[in-house]
Amino acid sequence: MLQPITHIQLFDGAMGTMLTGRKETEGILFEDLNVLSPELVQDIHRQYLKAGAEYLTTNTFGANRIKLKDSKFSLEEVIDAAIANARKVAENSSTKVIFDIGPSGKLMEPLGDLTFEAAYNNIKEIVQYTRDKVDGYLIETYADLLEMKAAVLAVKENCTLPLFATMTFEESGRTLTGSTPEIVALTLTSLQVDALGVNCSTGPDRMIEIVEKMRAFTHLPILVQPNKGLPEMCCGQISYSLNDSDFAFWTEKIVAAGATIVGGCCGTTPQTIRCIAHLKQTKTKSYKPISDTYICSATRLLKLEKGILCGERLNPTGKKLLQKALLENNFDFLQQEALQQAAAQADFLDVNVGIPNCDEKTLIVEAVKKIQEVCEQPLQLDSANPAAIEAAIRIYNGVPMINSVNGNEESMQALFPVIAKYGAVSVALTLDKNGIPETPEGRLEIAKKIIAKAAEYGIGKHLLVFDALVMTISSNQQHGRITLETLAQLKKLGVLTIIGLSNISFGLPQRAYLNRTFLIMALQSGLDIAIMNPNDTDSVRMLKAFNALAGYDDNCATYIAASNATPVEFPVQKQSEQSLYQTIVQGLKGTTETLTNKELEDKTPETIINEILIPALTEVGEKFEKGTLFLPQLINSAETAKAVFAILAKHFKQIDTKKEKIILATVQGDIHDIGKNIVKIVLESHGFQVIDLGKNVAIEKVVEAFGTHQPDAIGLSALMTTTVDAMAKTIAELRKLPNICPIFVGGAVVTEQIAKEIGADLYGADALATVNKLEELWKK
Amino acid sequence: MLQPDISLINNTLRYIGCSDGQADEQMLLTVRKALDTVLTKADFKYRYCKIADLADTPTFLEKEAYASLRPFLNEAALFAATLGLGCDRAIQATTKTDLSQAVVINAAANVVLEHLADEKLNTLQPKGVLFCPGYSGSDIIDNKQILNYLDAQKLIGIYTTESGIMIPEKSLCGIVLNNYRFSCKNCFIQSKCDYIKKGTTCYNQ
Repeated sequence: MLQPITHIQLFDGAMGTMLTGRKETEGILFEDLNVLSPELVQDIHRQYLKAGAEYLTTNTFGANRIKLKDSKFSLEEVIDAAIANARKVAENSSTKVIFDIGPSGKLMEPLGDLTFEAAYNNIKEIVQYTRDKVDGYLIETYADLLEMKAAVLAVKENCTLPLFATMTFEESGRTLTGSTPEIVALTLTSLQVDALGVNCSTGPDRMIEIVEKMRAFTHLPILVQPNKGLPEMCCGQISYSLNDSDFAFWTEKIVAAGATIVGGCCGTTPQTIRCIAHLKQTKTKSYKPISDTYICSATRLLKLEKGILCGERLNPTGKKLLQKALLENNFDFLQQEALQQAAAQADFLDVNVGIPNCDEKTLIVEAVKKIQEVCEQPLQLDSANPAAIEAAIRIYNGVPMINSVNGNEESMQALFPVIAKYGAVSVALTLDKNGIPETPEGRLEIAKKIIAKAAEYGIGKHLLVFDALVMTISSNQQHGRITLETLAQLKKLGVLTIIGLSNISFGLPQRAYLNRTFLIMALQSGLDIAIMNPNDTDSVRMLKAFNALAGYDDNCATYIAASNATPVEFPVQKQSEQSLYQTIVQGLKGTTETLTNKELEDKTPETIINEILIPALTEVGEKFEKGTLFLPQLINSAETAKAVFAILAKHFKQIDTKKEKIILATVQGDIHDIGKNIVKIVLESHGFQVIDLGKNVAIEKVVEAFGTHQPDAIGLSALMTTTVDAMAKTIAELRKLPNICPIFVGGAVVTEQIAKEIGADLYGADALATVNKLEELWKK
Repeated sequence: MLQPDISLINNTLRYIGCSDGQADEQMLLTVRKALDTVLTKADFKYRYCKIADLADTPTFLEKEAYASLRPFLNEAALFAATLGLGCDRAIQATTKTDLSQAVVINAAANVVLEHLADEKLNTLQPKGVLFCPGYSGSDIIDNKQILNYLDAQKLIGIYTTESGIMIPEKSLCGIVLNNYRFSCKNCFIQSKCDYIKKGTTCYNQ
């Protein structure tokens, strides 16, 4: 733990740029200099100490297992020497030795190939090795919030030393991966680092705004270590634009903006630090923790307040398609559902994967990763299983809502430590071991009990959102009234409220009318957040209208924005003018259902396939090969045909098993998957069953999938020359299996010759050629 | 801000295999929409350094695949550019809801990146063509050295995977060569090259 800070404290300045440009360091890794030139490193530490630094940072920015690959020494040798150098200088003084942890140099999944676990273990190893030798840790220059979270957890779970965590921001005011200062401050405060802040980035002048924004979201000490101006490359060397007195001028302004600890990053020298050492005389202000309630993803911050909409569609209860998708690990379906709700103006999304006989812990982790891959909306992690909630909250990028804790002692004991550790916001159900109280007063008493218990864990009531609980009026017509009165009572406690709206109408006809009416009644009674279907446009508009009418929407801005957000329809011909055949050829995806059902009135599914679908796809194929129809149109036609197949399959069970089963994967090391996705849709449009393993697929996963699914063919894709090798290795491993199916390959760099050389059975020059070759293969 | 002009539209159409004059109104609308998306999401950044100004000569240039470049290296420079992660994210999300549009956005992003990189290269000295690792039998793993010399990860946010693939995906890097002439001689995709089939080349369309 960091001791309370009463005066501005001083870190040291740059190590790397102090080591560059010297003859004795040319061509040597900076980290290796700890061993090779300890006097040089110690001399720099000593100069910073003399300049007034109260914290010396070890020369270990790149000293981690992932990054330190070209060193002449072991990681342990480098670390030991670095700590010894700083310790030697700091001995007999009150100066602290802080172990410097730089980023891994890899980008996290899904954009890159670094897993959360690998990022965590990379830092855990360092902390376990050094925790008895240093006075604290500085995680700095991180550009990815999720990598930062992994590193913070690795430090906090393996020691109790002070932890300083700073990120780097671009000129846009966001980190490379899109996080704002507010999001960084909220997330790191939630994770309870000892100090957070910003380093490197641009010059100190640009950091004032970042510090102000962070300060609005944290009461913790803010550490700022700017570069000495903007980096400029000149004659192969990077130089920095400010002089020391300019740096000091801006640093004073940074302190006025709310920084409590200052130092320097690239380009700064002991002289620079000396120029800001007088700031140590400045008393720090004290700051209160924020009392408003926020959740966030890595790129979107959401204040929880009146009129917020939580999308309910990612909950498998009563949703057969979602249940099927979860059983089949079809995360594309979840991603599409998430994006659809986001487009329908859901502010955040509930994610529940609770289906019978599934490993919920694994499934929710994968679902959260996949949804965060494509969707910016913050998430509500919804499970009755505390272990599943903790697993999901751990890898969640940002600060989530969790659903839910309740007044049961067991529930609170299981979840409050998790909420306290990760700093989430939680839904609190007003029920306990005796069930749901029948009166508003009973529910209120449980709410009070939950608030009191949460306080024991240091969890403020602003981090709890109380569910007044909605039960259907079909079984008891007082249920609606009880919920409304509970909402009103809860608001008197000064807490946020939430309900699952559609429960009110369960078992009754024309549910939409009841839901919409109850929404307005609940909002009037004190409801803040509605968990509901955002695709019910009327309900969404009524919610926005309520906020505008009740004075919660400044300048009616949200109402106007929502009204203007009507999706622009792409011009398509009217359905009445189209035949199903033309619809497929023209790829008019939105018009298939009515037309297919119309054809089904007087044709069997088999006839539709043979007389409409196949001829239409044949025409599309011929046009594509002639170069009169192009890839986007081919895909549209394929997606349309796939939609027709799905409708026909409901009427004709055999369709599911009619065509062969194919596994597709982009090989290990390759993160490009657009080509594989095109092949997938074209295969599906021709009725093949496709099991898509995704991108960057490990060899063993392909081997395992063959055993699990027993496919009729396996297709591998690679876009880059360097990953063709992984393709060859995957084929070699598959060839060791008995009864291995045909293997086909494709991708930008793969040729017929390469396909032969690496042992593939078939080469697909493009998606359509692949389909034709497979059709031909199985015709034989 | 760059506008989706006729040159960008035609080049995007070319990327998706649609020659001049073949696109119908719907296709043109799709391409314009894709270019709008890319131009909104793109955050173009670049780094540049003359090879003569580097502290040492990059070792990858000693490889045989770069032999034809050696006479030009005295006047050469290293260059890297990226559209940032916004375009990658847009393509990834669109892939889930509209694969057809995602393919066009992907093509449009390639066109915009090349356009902005060319525009930037024309303002720098030496001027010239950009030879990227992967061309003429060279290895894309050499991207790593170029990006390291330019400190591209830290300064413009280009990462590489173990296999040398750049992230953001819409990034490029290479060697700027004055008076250099490309050749298809060692190109490994000659057998499937659409340009060769049409009697032209990728560098001289």
